[in-house]
Amino acid sequence: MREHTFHEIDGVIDEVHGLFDGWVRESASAANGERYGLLVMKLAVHEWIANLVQHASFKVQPPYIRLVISLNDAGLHCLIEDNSEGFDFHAQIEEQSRRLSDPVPSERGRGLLMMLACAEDLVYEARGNGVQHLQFVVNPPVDSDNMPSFFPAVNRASDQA
Amino acid sequence: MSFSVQKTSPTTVVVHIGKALDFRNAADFKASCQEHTRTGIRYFVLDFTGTGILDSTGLGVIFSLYRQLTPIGGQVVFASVSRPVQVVVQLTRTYKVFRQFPTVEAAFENLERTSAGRPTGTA
Repeated sequence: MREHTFHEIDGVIDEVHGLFDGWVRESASAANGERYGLLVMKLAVHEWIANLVQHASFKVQPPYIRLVISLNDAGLHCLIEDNSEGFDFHAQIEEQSRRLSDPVPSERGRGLLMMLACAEDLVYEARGNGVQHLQFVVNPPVDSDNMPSFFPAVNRASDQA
Repeated sequence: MSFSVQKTSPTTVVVHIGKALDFRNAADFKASCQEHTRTGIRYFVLDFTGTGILDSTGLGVIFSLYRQLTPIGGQVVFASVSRPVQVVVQLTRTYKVFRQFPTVEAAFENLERTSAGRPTGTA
């Protein structure tokens, strides 16, 4: 199990990258699937932390973000706990999905959709005492050729193929 | 801002992405690409050597550049794609939109042949 708690929101993204880069290096002799899983998890965690950095309100001071990663029978499991005020996760997913059909797609607002592409069994909930929990397992490598993309240009390219 | 831009011909630039293209430098990347497009650049080689993260915002601005260039005959291609970026390319299937080359040199040579074969002016 790997665990780390961050207290400085400003530099947290670089800290997260540094941690994962170290873990990926340590797993150089591990199976390809585990190293791939760590890279997918790095992306998912990056998207979530980026969301916290850009949008979260931390009224309780000092802020913290706790990251716990473990390998179990289901795959690579991730727990991210923080003391932000939280948000309506499902409403945001719906909003990001709705925006995909805008005539000129936005450059932003796909972070949660990217997470969904990375993860499975994703659960976000308030745990009381101002603590928010996110848990997920990363997907094993899959052939996603036939799944709809959250970048419209990819879907058009698929249609033309 | 970790990226740097290298002009390799009157119509082509190589953008060395560096460590990351994400929500922190995506706006700078977009502004720089738009400025180069205004000066006549139509072909962008994105060099992902050593890039540790390409996030949804970074990919969003690359698609924005693609939408801007496609109507005027331009192209965006990927070169020397690092493993973390390859994961993003696979998950989002962007390999269906952006051609990939093993090296910057291979991408540049291919684009030079392409640009020699057709006009690159405005639509």
